Amino acid sequence: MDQPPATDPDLEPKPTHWSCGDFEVAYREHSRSIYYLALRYLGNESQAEDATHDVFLKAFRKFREFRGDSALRTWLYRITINHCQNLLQSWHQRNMTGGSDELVWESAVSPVDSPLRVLEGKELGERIQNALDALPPEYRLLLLLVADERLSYEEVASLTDQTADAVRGKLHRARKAFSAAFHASA
Amino acid sequence: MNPDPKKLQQQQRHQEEAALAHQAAHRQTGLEFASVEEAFRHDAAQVQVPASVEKRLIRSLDRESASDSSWWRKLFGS
Repeated sequence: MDQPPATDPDLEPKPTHWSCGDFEVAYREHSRSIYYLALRYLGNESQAEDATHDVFLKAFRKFREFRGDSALRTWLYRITINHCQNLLQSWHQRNMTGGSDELVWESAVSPVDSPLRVLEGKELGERIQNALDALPPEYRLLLLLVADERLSYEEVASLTDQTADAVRGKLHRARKAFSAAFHASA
Repeated sequence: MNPDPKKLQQQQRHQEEAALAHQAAHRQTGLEFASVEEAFRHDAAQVQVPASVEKRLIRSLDRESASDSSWWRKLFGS
C-alpha cells in the first residue's frame, strides 16, 4: 500500500497556541480576576502585570497536566497566590522590614457597621489599596478571595490551607481591620 | 453699544448659582458600600487588564512553541 506523502512541517500552517481554543478561552475568562488579585495583593501595577503574565505562562506549561480536580479558576488562583507569596517573601527578605502585626489589628477599633464611603470610583481604588497595604498579607489575601463571588468558602479555605470555619473566623477580624484602615485613610 | 450692567450682573449671578449647585450635587453623589466585599467587587469591576499583558504573553507562548519544535527537529534529525 502506498504511504501518504510525508508532510513538511515547515510548510504546514502552524496554529498558534493562542488560537487553539482552550487556553485563550481560559485567559479571556479569568485574566481579569487574576490581575486584580495580583494588583491588590502586591500593591503595584507593574508587578501585577509581570505576575499575571508569569502566572498564565506557568499555567500554559502545565495546562495539559490539569486534570480538572478543581475548578480551573481555583487552579489559576493557586498558581497566582504561590507566585505572589514567593515575590513578597523575597522582597521582605531583601528589605528586612517587619510586616503588619496581626495582633495590632485584633484590637482595632472601627465603625464596622458604618458603610464604606468614597466620593468617586477613582478614589475607591486608592483607598482600598492603602487600607490593604496596612494589613497583614494573610488578611489581604482572605478579603480578596472572599470578594470573588465565584469562590466558595471551601475553595477559599483550600487556597489558604485552612478549614472553612477558620476562614469564617478570620474573615470577621480581617473585615474589622480593613474597615478601620479604610476609615483611617480618609 | 455698552452691555446693560444689570443684565451682566444677573448673568454672573446665574453662573455662580449654577456652579454652586453643581458642586453641591457632586458632593451628594458618591459611592457607598454596605460591606467590604461589595466595595472590592465594585473596585474590581473598574480594573482592566492592560492590553500589553496579553501581547507579551502571546510573544512568550510563541517563543515556547518555537523552542519546542526545534527540540523535536533535533530529535528526529529534520
